[in-house]
Amino acid sequence: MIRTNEPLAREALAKEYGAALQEFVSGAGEAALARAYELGRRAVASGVGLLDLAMLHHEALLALPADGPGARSREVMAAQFLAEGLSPFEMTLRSYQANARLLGLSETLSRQNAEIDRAREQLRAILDATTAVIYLKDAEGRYLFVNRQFQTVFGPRRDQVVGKLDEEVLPAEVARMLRSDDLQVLEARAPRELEETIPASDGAHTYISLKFPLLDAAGTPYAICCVATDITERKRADEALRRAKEAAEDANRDLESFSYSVAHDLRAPLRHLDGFSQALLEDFAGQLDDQGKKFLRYIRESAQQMAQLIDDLLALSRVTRGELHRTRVDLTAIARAVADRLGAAEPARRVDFVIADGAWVEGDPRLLGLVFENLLGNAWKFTAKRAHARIEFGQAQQGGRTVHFVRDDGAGFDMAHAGRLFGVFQRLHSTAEFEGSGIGLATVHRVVRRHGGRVWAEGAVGQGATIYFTLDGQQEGR
Amino acid sequence: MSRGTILLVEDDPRDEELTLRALRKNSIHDQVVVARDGVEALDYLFVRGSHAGRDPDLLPRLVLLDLKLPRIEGLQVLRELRGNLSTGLLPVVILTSSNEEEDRLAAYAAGTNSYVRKPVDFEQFTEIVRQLGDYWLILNEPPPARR
Repeated sequence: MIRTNEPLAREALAKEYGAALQEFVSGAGEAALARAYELGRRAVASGVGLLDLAMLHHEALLALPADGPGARSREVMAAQFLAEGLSPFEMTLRSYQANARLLGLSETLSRQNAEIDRAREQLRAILDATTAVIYLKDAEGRYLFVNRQFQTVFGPRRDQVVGKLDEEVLPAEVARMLRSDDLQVLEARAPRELEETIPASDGAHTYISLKFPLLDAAGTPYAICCVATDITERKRADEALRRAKEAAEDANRDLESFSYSVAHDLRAPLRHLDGFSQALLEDFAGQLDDQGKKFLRYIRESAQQMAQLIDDLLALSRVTRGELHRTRVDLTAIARAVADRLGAAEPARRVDFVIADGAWVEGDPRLLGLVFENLLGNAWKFTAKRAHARIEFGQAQQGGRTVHFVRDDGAGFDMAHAGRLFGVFQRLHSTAEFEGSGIGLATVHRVVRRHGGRVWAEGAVGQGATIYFTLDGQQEGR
Repeated sequence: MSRGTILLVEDDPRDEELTLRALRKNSIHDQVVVARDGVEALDYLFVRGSHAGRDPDLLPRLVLLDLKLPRIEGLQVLRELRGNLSTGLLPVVILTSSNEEEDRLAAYAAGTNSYVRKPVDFEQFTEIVRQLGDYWLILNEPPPARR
């Protein structure tokens, strides 16, 4: 604004305005009207106000020659001239309003900027807090951003890294690998998950690096981002797990071949012991006295006992080895079949079998068959000294689950030793009293456990035994 | 009892002795040819090697085959004799220590006619051999000779 020149400017303006108005009303046309606009602009520029211009116009009107016949038309023209002269003021006002709007916009902008700054700070805090290495590079490989973990892993501070290339800040080998991986992703224009190995003071670390390109509107990659997670611990754990699994598989294979050779090779010598003892007894009976014959009988008994032991051990190992084939199983039918077989083998014995009807369960029929072979077999064995025995298979409800039991009124056992009953080779009776290998209940225990159940025993010496078992718990693996 | 040949494939001389004893005790007087490993068994059956000179028309009436054998195992012997026209229909009884399910399955899959486990008790074994003789050498009708 040229405030100081205002009076001077107003005087010159008034003079020119009067002349121009007169020209216009006299019919000078558009060119004179354009002068009005020009003068308006000068008024705005030199600080002559709106009211000044109105006054100036009034003075000019008065200075016009006396009214004549076209006076009305002259007034209209004068008003048109004034309007043209005022239009720069109108425009100034508009631009003022526009400025005000811009000012508001800029306030909004700075508020939004503050929000963006806060969001950026939050993002950075998150990126710095994570244990993943995160960095952003442009397409040429210059770092745009690295997080705190980058510095922890690679060493150089972030202000030494931003704007630099890999080979300027990292060991050559690492730089080469990173760049080559980055190029892969940039070329593919798609995310890639890569395993990268980075040397560290405590040995090489393995990272799973998720790399993805940032694409511009045309689909051209202008940057690449990487989020690298250290999986060294996980990898070591995986490796340890794999080795343990292999060892277990080896052990399992060893067990398989051991079982196989037990089945074949350990039985053969026993067969020879028994066979040739028998041959001696037959062919050389005359040369042996009673003592000698008795010893040979002992050899045969021992050989046969050991063969039985081997068979029982094999049966036990089969319980653990095979797959569990679950299906609907009729325990009643199994129990009846076993009871019939026992009765047929020793028809002279008087044993009442009481077998519950309709005992259906989910389980492996072959393995559950073993359970009844052993439980009913035991009951049969331990009631051998009773003139009239009773063996029962039944079911009871206990805490919402079905408990199966096999009960006899035989020799029983001392509850003090109940915990030993289900261990391999554990026997509570002497061989002279009752035969057995001490594997039967261990087999039952394993079968029940594989079905996710529980087995326990109750009894008293001379008052029989009851073996309880459940089958409906959480199933175990092997 | 009609006379014929029994092929006993058995590597252990003690088992051989006991099996021959059990056969004798049951008055089974067929000639017993003993092959002590899988190769010898196949040589005998296919009239070759150490048995190249034998009468090729004289096939054993019964093969008693152990599973665990040196050189060529029993299952392989069984597969090869089943795969051969002249021996394909021979009655074969697996006589073994094993009662492992896998062994039984493999033996039947390879085409055995019977699978018997040798018991430790010799008296039981003698009884088993008697029953085998009664069944395979007397009751059972052998396949007709193929020409």
